[in-house]
Amino acid sequence: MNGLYLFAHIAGTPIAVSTDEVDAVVRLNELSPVPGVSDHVAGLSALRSRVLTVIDAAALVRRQKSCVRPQEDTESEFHVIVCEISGHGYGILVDRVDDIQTIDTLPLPICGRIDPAWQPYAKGVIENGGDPHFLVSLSGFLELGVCAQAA
Amino acid sequence: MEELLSDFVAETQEGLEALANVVVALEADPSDRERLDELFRFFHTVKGSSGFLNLPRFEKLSHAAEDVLSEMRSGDAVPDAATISAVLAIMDRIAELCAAIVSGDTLDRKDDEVIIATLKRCFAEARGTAGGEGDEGDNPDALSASQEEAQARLPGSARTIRLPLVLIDQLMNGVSDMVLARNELSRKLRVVEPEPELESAFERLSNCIADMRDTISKTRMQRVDRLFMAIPRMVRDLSRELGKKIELVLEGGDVEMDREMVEAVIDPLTHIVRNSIDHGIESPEQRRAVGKREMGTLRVSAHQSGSQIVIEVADDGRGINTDAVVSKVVSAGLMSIQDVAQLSEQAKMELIFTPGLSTAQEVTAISGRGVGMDIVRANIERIGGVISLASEPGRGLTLTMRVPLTLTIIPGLILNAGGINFAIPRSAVVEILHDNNPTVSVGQLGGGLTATIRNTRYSMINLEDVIGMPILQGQGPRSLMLVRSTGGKPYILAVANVENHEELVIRPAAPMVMAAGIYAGMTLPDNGQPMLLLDAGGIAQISQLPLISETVETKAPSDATEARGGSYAGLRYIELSGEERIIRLSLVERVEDIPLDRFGTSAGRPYVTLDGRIINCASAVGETDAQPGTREVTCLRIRDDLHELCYPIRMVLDIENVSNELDMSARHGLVAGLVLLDGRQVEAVDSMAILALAGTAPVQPGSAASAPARCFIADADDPWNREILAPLLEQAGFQVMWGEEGASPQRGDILLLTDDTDATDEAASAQPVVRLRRASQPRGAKDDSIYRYDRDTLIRTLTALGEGTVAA
Repeated sequence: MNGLYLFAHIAGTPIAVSTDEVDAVVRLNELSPVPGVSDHVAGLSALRSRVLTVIDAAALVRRQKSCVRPQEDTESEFHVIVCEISGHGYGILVDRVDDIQTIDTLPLPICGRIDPAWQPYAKGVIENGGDPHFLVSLSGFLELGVCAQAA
Repeated sequence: MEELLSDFVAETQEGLEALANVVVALEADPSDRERLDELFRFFHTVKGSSGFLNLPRFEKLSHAAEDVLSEMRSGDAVPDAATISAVLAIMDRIAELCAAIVSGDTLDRKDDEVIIATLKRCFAEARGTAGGEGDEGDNPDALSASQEEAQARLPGSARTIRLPLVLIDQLMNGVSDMVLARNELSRKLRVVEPEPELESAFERLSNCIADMRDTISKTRMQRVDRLFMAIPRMVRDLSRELGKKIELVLEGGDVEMDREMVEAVIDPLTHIVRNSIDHGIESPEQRRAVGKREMGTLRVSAHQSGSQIVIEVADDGRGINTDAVVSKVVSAGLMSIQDVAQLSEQAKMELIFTPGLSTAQEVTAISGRGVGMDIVRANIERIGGVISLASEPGRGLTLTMRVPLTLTIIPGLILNAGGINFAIPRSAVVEILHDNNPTVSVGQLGGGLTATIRNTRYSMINLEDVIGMPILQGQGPRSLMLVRSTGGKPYILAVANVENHEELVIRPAAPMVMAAGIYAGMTLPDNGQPMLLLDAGGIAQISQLPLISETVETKAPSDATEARGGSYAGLRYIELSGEERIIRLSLVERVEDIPLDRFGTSAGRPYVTLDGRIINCASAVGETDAQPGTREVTCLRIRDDLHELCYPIRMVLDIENVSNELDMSARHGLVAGLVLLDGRQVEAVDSMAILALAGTAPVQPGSAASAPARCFIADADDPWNREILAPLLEQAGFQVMWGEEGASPQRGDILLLTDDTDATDEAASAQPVVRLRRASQPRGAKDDSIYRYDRDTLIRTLTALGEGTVAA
């Protein structure tokens, strides 16, 4: 942990991701659909010669398609956080990316009764300029994604 | 130091692999000086390096072997089997030590001593028998030692370097990136004003990139030699163990294939070679007994054929005992006897690939083959290859593996379903047809789809149903792909259309995509749109296709077991004259579009030339009979065991299940009567009448010896008599007469009566009478009638009556 965090929104909730996990943040406007798999797999996208499997994080958390997810035949762009986990390239679809900041304090424990949907993903709380963000790990998202599918 | 050590291990292991052949060759020809030198150089190098790296155990082992070999080189001793075995043991030990260095294990030092002692003893014995020459050879002078040193240096060969594979993969990725960037640039260039200078520069760039892609691909190539390396040693060890004599022939080692492909083929190839030695090639005694050379031959060859590498393993052993394989398959409950009986000899042989057969170990003892062959096939098919076999009982077996040149770039078909593009390996697709093709008919039963292509029924799946997309209408005919799936049965995959084919670079897909079970990977084609590669086997599993074998319609229309069902499969078609008729499907060999110029008439008889033969044609055809827009006429090819007939029609409609009982008997010309299909009347074709069109009366087998008995069927209007009984009797060799107007039974005829025939006026006739009843049980003790489907009794009775041995 170098204390550098990427702040973004998933399903309307502010989150923080350690930049150790992040390869890049890109804007995409094309998605090839992947039929026959769980809803949270939004599709495939080409990033140069890499093929990214784009995961709809909001769908994973809330079990519903996120509103930022591009509809067919629209030119809208969307943000994905690019990461590589166990050899595969993924793009995590988020509502928006806010900021990158160095936060020197350690993650705080979660206080209050949080939404059960977030329970498996939130690892702690990071405060950026006084606003609390859930600390999440991208690999955690994907592991739970596979489990959710198996269930 | 660490680096030096790992280099040493890698070099030594490579050297060991390369030498496996050498030792075996040396054993076959001990005087082969060149091989001896090669072996000596290896040990010398190992000794030198291990001394430098302070690895005393390596040094001791290699030193011992070097000593022995040096004496052989100087001609003081002749290599014999025992000594070579001991040298091999040293090589194995060195390999073990290498592995131990990598894994950090420790090996017992004492074993080294034992191995060295064995070598020394063997060598001493060999020398003893060689004549027990003095000790002069044991003290080589300084001069000869330095000569050896000089010889031991490897002659200058092409310089090579070692590279980590990751680096090459990265290079490959980089090149793919470049190709995509180039494509994007080319798209952008197309929209601006054409500029010759810019274009020629772009052209140059394109060529450079293409060259580079080729070169990088080559870095991934390896000679098939590497695949063959382990074989000589394996053959030697196994043949010793089993007491067989085997001559090994290796061919085509200089063919190159992708490194990953080599890795993927090693296991199946090893398995096949093992099987050949273990079960295929007989022991010397057995071979002598059947008049073969004592030494069996095993030929392993490789050659390139287009974008495929063909690897062949041929032995001259006993081949496959199909009976044993069949009985095994049946006893394991994998197939029923009836199903097996329908298979061709080749298909029976291929039963050795049946999954589940391998788990029964005793099959090795019985059939000789079949251990894990399903796994071999699955492995080959997984990498997009095909395996086939040709066996001549008693003469040998040839197994042929065809694998693509590389794993990562495969020829693929791009198809569209539900508006999404997918790729499928070209190797998985046997055939592609449009669903409006006359040879295809699609049926639906309780939600399950079937497609019948040329009399073979397949399960059919709409890809859209699998992926949960709507089937888009109005885009022309759908494409039906006959797909071969790993281990399973072929089936039909229906898609909106098949677009084109392209060489595809395949990447593994993410686990959550693979979890769907229908994808094998993903790919980035030249248009830059990521695409998923379909897994034919996975789709079959997800759709829970029944694993029944394709049902081939039985040819004999009179098969009683078929008729008992009360219905037959009929082909509904439209005649040239416009009538809708239905014909027994089993009579139709296939449906074919034949060009008009093949038709002709001679002496009033129409005929057609097909496959270099002249065949009777049912009717003359003209320009107007051709399908609109083409100069071809759709024809039914009709045949039984004797006749062949080409029957031109307007078009094929469908395949229907037709009741044996005609709804209305109205015999006229070709038509036997009417049947109701979905409330519509369709004319049913009289099977006998259509075959009669095929030409001359059949020559009755055995008619020269004794005239066959004639059966007089009283009720000619009974459709059952006409459709079932008559063909059965004809097939059994009887002549059939009909109780039509003006015809009456003659002397020697057997009168056949059915239940509803009025028997009283016939009873007086002098002919023997056989009564057939509809009920399966006799009506009373006096009832001497025969149940009409009791074929055996009927034929037996008729034969007996015909010969006059039984009085009626």
